Amino acid sequence: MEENATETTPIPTMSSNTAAETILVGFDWGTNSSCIMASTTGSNDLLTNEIIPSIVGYAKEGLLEGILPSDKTVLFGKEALKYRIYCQLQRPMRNGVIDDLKSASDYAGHIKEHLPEGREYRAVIGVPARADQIARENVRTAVKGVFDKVILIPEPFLAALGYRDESRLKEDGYIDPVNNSLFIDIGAGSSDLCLVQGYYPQPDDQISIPYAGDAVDAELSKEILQKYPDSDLSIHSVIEIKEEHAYMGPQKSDIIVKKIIGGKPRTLDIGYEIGQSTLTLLDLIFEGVKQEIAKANPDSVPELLQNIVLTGGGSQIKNFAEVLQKMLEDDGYEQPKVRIIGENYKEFVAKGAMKAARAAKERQWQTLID
Amino acid sequence: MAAQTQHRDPVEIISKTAQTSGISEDYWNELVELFREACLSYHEGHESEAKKLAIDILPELIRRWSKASPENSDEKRLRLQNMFIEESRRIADAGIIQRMIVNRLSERVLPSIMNELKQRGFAPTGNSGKKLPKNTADLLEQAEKPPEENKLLQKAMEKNRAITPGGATLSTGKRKVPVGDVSGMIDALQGSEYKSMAQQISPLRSLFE
Repeated sequence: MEENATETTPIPTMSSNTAAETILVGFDWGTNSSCIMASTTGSNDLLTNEIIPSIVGYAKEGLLEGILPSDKTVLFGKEALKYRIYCQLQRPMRNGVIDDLKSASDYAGHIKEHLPEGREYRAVIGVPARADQIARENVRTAVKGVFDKVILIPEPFLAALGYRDESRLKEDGYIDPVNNSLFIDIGAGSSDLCLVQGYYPQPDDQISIPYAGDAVDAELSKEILQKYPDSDLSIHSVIEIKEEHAYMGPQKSDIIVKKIIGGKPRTLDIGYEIGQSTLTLLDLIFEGVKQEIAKANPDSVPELLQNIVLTGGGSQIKNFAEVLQKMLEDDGYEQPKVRIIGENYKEFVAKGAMKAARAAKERQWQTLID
Repeated sequence: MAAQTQHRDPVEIISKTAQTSGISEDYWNELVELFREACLSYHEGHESEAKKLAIDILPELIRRWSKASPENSDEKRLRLQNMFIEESRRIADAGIIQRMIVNRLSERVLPSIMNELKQRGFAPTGNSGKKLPKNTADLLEQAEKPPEENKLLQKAMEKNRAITPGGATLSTGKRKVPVGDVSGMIDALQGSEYKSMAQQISPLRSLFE
C-alpha cells in the first residue's frame, strides 16, 4: 500500500508498557510512506500507530553548525523532506522492494525509535506479492538488530485481513469485504489487482501492473515540461501538484498552479496536462479489471461487480472510482460499483499485519541472527 | 562449516551401506547424509559434485530404501519431501551463519591479525618489513577494506546467493486458505517458501514429477 510522502502523522496511542514485555509490530514498508503499529502480546491496545515517509536524508558535507536540528548527520521522514536542500535524499525502497540496503537499515533503525520499550520485538512485515527470495532476504537483512523475530506476508493478504472488521461479521447488513471482492491497490511502483473470494489470493488471482503513482509523476513532469520548457520543477513539486489536483474524466481547464521558477513566481495553467498524465493509468487499470473479472466463477460475478475496491495512493485521484465504474458500465458490465476505501487506506496493511502477529504461533516466527 | 566434499565412488558407498545395515533406516540415514552433502556442495559452488551425488548415487539409494521400507508409497513420498525441505532449510540457515562468520572475520578478526603482524614487522604489500606469501598478503589486504570494497567478502556473499536465486514469489502455493485462518495462511506461505527453496537447490525434484 503506498502513497506519496507528505507528513508524518502521529496518531494518539494508548498507555505505556513495561520493558519486560514482548512488542508485536505490524509494519507496512511502502515506497513512499510506511505505516507502523505496535502493541504488547495479548493486548488489543495500540501503543504506536504512525505513518512515516519512507525517506532518509544524509547531511551534505561541510554544513555549518546549527543548520540541521541537533546537527544530525542522518534525518528521516518528514524531517528529511523539510531539510531536503541540505541533504542527499535517499529512498530505501523502489517499486515496493528494498533498493538501497544501507538507507533501508538506517530507516528500520529509525522505526524502532517509534516503538515502545520492550524485551523482544516481533514484526509482521508486508512485502509485495511479487517479491522474490532476494527481495525478502533484503528485508530480513535490513531489519536485523531492529526486530528479533519476523514473519513476511504478501501485502494483498494483509490488506484483506486489515480491511475486514471481524467484530461486525454477525451484524445485519455488514458485507464481509473478503467474501467476494476485487481489490485494486495503486501504489507508487505498481498497481496490484487481486481477487479475494473467501480465501487468501493465490498467484493466479493477482495481476501486478508495473505502472502506478511514480509513472504518473513522470508523465506529469514530462507534460509540464513540454508546455513550459523553462519550468524545471523538482519531482517533489510535481508530486505536490499531483496530490492536490490529479483527476480523471472530462478535461478540466481551470487548474492554475503557482510555482517559483527561476526565482520568480509563475502561474502554470496545466489542467489539460494533469488530465493527460492519468490516462495511461486508467486504461491499464480498466484492462486489468476486465481480466480479473474474466477469471472469476461466472456465478460469482454479479456480486463481485458490487465490490470493486480502490485503494493505495492512486485511489485518491479525483473521480477515479466514478470514471472506472462508467467505463465498466459502457463496456456492458451489469451495474458495477467501484468504491474507494478512504483516506485511512494507509493503515490497512499494518492493521492486517497486527492481526497476523497476534495470531502467529511461536514456531512460525523466524529468528533473525544479528 | 562443512568440509570440502570428497569424491566418492557411488558403487562403494551403496555396497558398504547395504553390507553394514541391510535395513531401511540405514539406507535412510545414508540418504539424508548424501542429500545434505549434495546441498552443501551446491551451496559451496561445486555444482558438478552436487549433480554427481544427486544423479549418480541418490536415486539408487532412494530405490533401495523404498524397497526395504515397510511404509506405503504415500508415506514414503511425504517422508522424502519433508526431508528435502528440512535439509534445504538447514543449509539455508547455515548460509546465514556462514555469512555472519565471514562478516565478523572480515570486520573484526582479520584486521586484528593484520595489526599484530604489522607490529611484528610483517607487511602484506609495500617495501618495508618482511614479505608475506602472496595469498596471505592478498587476504590480509582485503581484510582491511570496508565490506563494500572487500572482494573476499563479496565473493562469499555471491556464493551464498546461489542458494537463494530470485524468481520464487511468496504465495500459499496450491493450498486454498480461508481468510479467517491466519495461522494456516502463515503455515502455507512458509511451507511454500521452504518447498520452493528445496526445488531450487535440488535436481531430485524430477523424482516426484
